[in-house]
Amino acid sequence: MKSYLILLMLIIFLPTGCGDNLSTSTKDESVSVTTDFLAGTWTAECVDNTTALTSTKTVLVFSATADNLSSTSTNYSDLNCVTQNFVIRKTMNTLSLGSKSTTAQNQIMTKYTAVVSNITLEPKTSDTATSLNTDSYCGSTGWSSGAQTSIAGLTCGSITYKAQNAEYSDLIQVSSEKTFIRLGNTTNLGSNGYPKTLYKEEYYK
Amino acid sequence: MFRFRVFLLIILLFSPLSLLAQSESSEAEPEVVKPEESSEMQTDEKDRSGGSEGGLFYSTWGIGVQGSYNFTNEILFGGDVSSQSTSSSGGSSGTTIEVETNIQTVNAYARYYLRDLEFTDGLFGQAGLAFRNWSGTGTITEDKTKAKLASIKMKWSPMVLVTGVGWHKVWSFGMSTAISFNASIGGSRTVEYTENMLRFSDAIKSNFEENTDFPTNLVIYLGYSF
Repeated sequence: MKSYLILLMLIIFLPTGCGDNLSTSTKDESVSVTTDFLAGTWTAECVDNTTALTSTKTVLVFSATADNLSSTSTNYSDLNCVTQNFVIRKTMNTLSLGSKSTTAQNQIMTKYTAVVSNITLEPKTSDTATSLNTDSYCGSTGWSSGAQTSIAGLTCGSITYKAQNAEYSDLIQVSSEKTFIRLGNTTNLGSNGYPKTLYKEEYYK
Repeated sequence: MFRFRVFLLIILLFSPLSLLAQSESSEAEPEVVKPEESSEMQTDEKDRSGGSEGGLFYSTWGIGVQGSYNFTNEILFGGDVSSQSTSSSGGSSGTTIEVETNIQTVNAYARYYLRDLEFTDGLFGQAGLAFRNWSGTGTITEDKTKAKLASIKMKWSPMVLVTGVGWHKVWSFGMSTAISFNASIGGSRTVEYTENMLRFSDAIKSNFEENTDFPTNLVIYLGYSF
């Protein structure tokens, strides 16, 4: 009977006393974005659109003090970024880096704000200009090849562009090895005015 | 936890049955035992003082070797060494998660066998110390760019108290088998999360911590007694 008592005590002891005490810690080793880091030219790879049979390539240029940003997005009439269709240029000033943030997908971002200087669209071929005029793209019929026209504040297709001097809020994601950056999808904004998701393109220096 | 519940249920079910079985046999007429059966029973139920045995086992904490010495018929001193390395890989949404754990354990213990009741011959309780070299790592990387999104490091305390219950059967021809269920007490585990491009949500953390917790150890042993 005594032996049974010992066994019973062990059985009771097993579920009540078992396990390791857990202690956890979390280190934030995400890259802190600085103006020095951003300054320079960042180029994305060619992104094809197999549905529209076009492709796009974007280049970001941050000024030496990273307070001005110029984004040049070139659309091509092929899948390999060879024949230019049109170019959209966004220029921003008074760029200011903000705090780190997290998207709904738990991605670590850095917020930034800027003021829109201008947004322009330039058809690169007469065929493109003709097509834009036919569609009254952005409500305009004055498109001509090689001429930049401001589209700031206009609605072009499904996109409404920010007006000149409007505040622009965006996110930057930096890779852990500092080799590339990504920007927020400014067509999908949250209630705080910042993008909720990221564009897939990586920009490399 | 499920295995433990099943085991506990078996013990709680069989304990009263064993008492009942003993009670019935004491009132029944004596059975005629054939000479060969008698010989086998005597061999199985012999006093094991001074005997030794060794064997292999499979357990939650790894595969290993075990050796033991019967100090008395009821008390056994034993030790074992086990090792287990696991690596797994999976992922979703363009990410890959790789987890690797390395577990090496040296265990020294004493057992007390319940020899006083016939049915429970071989039932034992044990307690001892386990010396652990346990560690684990995990990394989450982005498939497209191979950028490191986050990582995890785990480390367990080197020493822990281990207690358990089990059943050990030695056959007349020397083979022996045992099953035991043990639990560790008094140890600690540290998990260090490093966030590079991705924050760990509370749900991911608790899920990970649950899946890498090994508080109990089910041991299935096969050996030879000499």
